[in-house]
Amino acid sequence: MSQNDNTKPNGNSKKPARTGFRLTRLAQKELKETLRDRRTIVTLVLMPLLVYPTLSLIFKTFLLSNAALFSGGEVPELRVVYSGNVSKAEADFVFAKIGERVKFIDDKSSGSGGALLRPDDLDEEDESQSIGSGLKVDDLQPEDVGFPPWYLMRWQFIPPSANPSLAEYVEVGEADLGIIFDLNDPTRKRLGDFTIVSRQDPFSLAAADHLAKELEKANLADREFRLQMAGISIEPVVNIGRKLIGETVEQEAPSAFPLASLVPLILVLMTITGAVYPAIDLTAGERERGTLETLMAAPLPRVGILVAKFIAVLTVAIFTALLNLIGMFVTIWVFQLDQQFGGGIFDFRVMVQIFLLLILFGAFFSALLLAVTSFAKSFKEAQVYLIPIIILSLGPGLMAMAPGISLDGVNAVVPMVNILLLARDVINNEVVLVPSFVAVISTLVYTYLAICLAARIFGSDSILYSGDGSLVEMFQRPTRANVVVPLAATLFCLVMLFPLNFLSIGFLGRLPAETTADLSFRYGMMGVFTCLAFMVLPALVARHQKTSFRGGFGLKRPRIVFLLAAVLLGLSLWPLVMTMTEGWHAAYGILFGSEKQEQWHAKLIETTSEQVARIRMVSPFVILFSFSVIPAVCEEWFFRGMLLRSLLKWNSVWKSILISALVFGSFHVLSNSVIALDRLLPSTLIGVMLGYLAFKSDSIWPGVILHSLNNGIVVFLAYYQPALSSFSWFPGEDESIPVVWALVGLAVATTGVLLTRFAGSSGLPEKSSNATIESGEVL
Amino acid sequence: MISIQHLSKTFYAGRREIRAAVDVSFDVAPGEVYGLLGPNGAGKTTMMRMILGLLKPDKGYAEIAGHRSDHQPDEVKRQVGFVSAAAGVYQWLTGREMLGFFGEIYGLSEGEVETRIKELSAILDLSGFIDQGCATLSTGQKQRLSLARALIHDPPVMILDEPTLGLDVIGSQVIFNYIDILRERDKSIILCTHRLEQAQRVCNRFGLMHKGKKVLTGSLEDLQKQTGKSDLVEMFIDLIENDNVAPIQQV
Repeated sequence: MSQNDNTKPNGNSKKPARTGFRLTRLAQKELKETLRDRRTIVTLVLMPLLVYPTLSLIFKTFLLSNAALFSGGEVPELRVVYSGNVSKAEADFVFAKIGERVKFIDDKSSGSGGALLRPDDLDEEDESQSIGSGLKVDDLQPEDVGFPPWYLMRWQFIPPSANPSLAEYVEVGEADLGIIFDLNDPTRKRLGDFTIVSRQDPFSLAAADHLAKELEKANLADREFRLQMAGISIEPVVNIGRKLIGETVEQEAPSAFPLASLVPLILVLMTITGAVYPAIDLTAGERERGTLETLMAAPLPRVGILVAKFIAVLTVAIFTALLNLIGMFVTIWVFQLDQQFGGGIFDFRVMVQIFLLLILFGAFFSALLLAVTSFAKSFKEAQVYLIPIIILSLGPGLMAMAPGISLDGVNAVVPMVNILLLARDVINNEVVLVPSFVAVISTLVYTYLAICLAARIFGSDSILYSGDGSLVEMFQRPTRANVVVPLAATLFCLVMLFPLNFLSIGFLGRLPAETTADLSFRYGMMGVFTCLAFMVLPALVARHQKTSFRGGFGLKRPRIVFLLAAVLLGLSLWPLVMTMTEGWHAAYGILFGSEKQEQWHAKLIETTSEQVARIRMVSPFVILFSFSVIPAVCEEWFFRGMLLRSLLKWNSVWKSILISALVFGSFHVLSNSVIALDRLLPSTLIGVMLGYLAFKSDSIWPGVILHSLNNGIVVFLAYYQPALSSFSWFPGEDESIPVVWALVGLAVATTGVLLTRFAGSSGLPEKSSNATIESGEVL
Repeated sequence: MISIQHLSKTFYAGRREIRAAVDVSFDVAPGEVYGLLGPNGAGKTTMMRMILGLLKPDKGYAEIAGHRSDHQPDEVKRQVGFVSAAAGVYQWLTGREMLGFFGEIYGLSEGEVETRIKELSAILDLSGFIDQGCATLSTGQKQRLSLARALIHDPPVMILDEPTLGLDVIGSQVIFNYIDILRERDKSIILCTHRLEQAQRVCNRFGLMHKGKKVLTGSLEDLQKQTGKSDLVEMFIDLIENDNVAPIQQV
């Protein structure tokens, strides 16, 4: 036919272009496609245009009503007394300077050229008069009032030697604040020191805060001030000290709105908004439109396709972040909200840092979104999955807004919380190096993990071709008997265990804990809950899945050698665990500073000793059952029985053992009502031991022995600690374990492991090839 | 060119076990069009997906130009042009952009892509809409674009799964004519279709599938001898109505 038949490129001879180049093209195409979609543009451009002005109006209303708490809607009057070696002119100048920087009240309307701070009309001879008399109150027009906190400030000189003294004026409430000037610097290179005297009631404290802030600003910025007072100097003009007098008064109203925490939250939520649509569109949407299969038929690695999509989603997220950042700053500037941030938010460096944090967060969340949306088969399904995720992510977001929470310890590694706290610290200029570093690194790690997960799910044939009813099918009863519980059913069990665990902790916490009978009942109930959650629920699921207990939970009688190994390990692991915990404490100190470590350690000791005191009230038999035997049997039943055996069916041995151990470890972290991260490593390690033992022996019974011995020893060491302490060889309550103990423990434990290792496998069902569609491809 | 060896695949949908392919083997030589035919749910699409390496077979393997699709999926994909009935187009790209994008993915240079687009748009009559956004195209235009997309890298092997689905008579005619051209150019082609008259004309050999099993195989003459029916439509009806093959156990 056509003459160029022979000149055409032939599939056989073509050189494959570099994968990197092709992936770049792929990312470009994804981006082009996304950006041409008008719906993307809506979230990208329109949202920031609408959201921030709306939000700022809400802020304004909120802040006004917040300020009204002080004065019932009136502009609060702040009565200040001052003292020290300062002339009236100098004092007026300082106060006026502060006022100049505040500009809360329109100059013209107040009529006296001053801002909100107005010099009083008293002459020098009036100085000794008590304040509150002879002061003229100007009329304030409500519409002239700007953003709170603002004050109508009056000041009055009190001579240092006067009686009543300045402090007494403040204390009895004749004045709200006192300022003591100390301008005694003979060189006059610096102005001197200010001491602000305030009562400990909300109004006085807030006013002191406000004044201190304004003084600091005046201090930093006002060159003219320094020139006039003392000539050019590089020293700070003032030092501001604080002195509190009187009783602490419970604060009734929030003195300042945590805007610095709110800004990152809003930006993060907006960044999420930008990434959601492209993430769904490029994964579930592509499957729905039928282009995914075509793409999978192209000679590109699946991971590569996903990475290209990730880049596209991230780019949109970054665009969104940038536009939102700009929108927010413009709004803050236009609506004069910057006073709420101490002005620092307009620092270019701060903006760049926040933008970088948003990119980091955007990367993490884009990867997470892709992992979730890759799992979905349609747009609708993806939305169903994403809504709970976004609502759940509000949790850490709000948590990060709580006052007093800081970027350290667990917070530094909790996704989203760490970035939000870091952004808040950036705005407040309070960045601490090590936790910030931990926050950034951990977010990068989460991003990587989320991409790996997404790559496993994305375009896998089970997602590409399975029907839409997979969630329902998970709950269907199989027609044939299963050897082990199917993984989907086990995962269902696992998911149910988390809320059950929290519920039982909460329920137990409400039980009385006064008398011995109370406590015995409580520990008895604890055993009942453990049984219900870890034993009865899995048993019911196994029955439903037509799985025999013997096979599904590994109930067969083990060989004696494994029992022996279990006894050795059960007797020897605890000193190792305790040493490890101490190591973790030390590492915590290095990471987050010794002060944090001591605080945390003190808290830990407090909760532990409280627990121990309760345990000692109860009979040792109750303790034996509820802390050693029941948890050992029930937890082995689920973690090494159901979970490990299900995992082993579709995964390699070590992967299964590690996953089951990590789940086991996480449960122990959550089982204390306080999140105790120090239990993660030791518990996971014991989980690995237990998993290995269960795998080799093909039975949970050796694990039950190990587990109950280990638990029993730890709890009874605490129980009989007072009696044991009378022996000179026994370490005291706050002493660490002797090195010899740890070494002996290590030796015995090693013997146990070697015994297990060389005992020969009992042949637990290993990874089998005939995996089903619903199988553990994902895990 | 194409060698299919004992491909088997079973799906589990909840309590049901669906055998989509049971030990299916066949070969397709260059210049041959192999018609993989069968009623809906016979397992044809599963076969094609396994051949291409999109779906992992439980047993057996497919080899294309010496590469096994389970071992070297990327090599196999490079040799194959794949058109499926479900193939969509990128609605926010134009036809030319989409072809260009796939050309680059298959490793063509910009010049090569341009030449190929010119050729293909002449043969498949794309020139009227190739610069239009794909969202605005008709079904027939989309399907032609899809075929052009699969051919952009001029692969030696074509796998066509219902390439004429939803097309009118003229639209299907364009596609079948082009399949003739491809055969003349020594391509190996596997064709799945329900347009039996055209299949009868265009295919050299057939494999009739039913419930995951290949029940009849050979040239049209062979089939006529085996069944005593003169054309494919009759054979089909016979196949479905009488279910005259050993029924596959539905567990």
